[in-house]
Amino acid sequence: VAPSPLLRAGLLGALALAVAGIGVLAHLSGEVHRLHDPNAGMRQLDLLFLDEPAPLLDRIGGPPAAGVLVLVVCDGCSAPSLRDDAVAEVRVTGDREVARAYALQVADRDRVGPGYALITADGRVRYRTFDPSVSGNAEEIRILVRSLPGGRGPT
Amino acid sequence: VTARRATAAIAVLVVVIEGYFLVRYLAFGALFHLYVHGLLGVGLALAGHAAWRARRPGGAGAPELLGVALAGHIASAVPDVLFLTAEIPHAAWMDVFVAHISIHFVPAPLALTFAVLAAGVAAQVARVAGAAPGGRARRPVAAAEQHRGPPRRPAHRADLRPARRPRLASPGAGA
Repeated sequence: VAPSPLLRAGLLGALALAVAGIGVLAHLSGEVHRLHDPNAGMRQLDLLFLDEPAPLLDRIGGPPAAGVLVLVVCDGCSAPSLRDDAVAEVRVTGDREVARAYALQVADRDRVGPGYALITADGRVRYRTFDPSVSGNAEEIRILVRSLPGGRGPT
Repeated sequence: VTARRATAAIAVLVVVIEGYFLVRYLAFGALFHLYVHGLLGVGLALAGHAAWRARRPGGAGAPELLGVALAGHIASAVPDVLFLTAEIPHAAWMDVFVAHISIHFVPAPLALTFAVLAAGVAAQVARVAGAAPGGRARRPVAAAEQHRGPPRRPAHRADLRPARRPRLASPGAGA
């Protein structure tokens, strides 16, 4: 006996929701999610939503001489290696004051980053995000750097 | 056989495109975006399709539903495809692609978009329930068809004129 259309639709709907729900729950309980931004929606947004004077510039060595400064904020992580077509200077810091100023510190866990901020040569911060694998996401950082003033190198 | 081939073809398309999305988002460590935009796009597409289909006769087959869901996901993921393929960063105007930017600024975006998907699935189940024999959408129609009888010819203008009252002979006429 063939199942009724309603029963079939209900079973398929329940299956679709179960698959999506399991995926979402697995993501929420995973290590990557727990490392991420407490403000979950803002992570790796790839939108240059900031345009304001970069804080604590003297503490991080000043703005870049040319191109874009990739300020990596974390405890003991490695710097991303960007391709030559992006004009960027990469600095890594674990300074808690800097992390707090760039909203890259998780206060309740006393964790610095991991994340990064993009600062242009005129001393303005254009982007910041938590990122669980800054060095592994060099391609994403490269695309953002190239879209900023002075960040596009020879292709 | 044609319906099965259509289902198989659209299923292959779904697997290829969703597989591309999965691999690319995983490479960027950005599964969060796959879930948020996927759930929102598919949920809204299913809900919109259910509302559109409710006013039209006939059911929707598996190829149509799979196509609608896939189109919803693709529409919501266009800015990410632009980022990955054309290296175009996100911008505020990209909200035209199923609120691609704004959805990041709502509280608990994953829970919200999962609720949207659940609403879309519920709308589809309700549509099927309404279209089933004895369902709410069909019952009045079937009852009306039973009592309607043979179709009538369209009314002629002459039929719409008020009927003339028959002239009554005066009681004294012919007396």
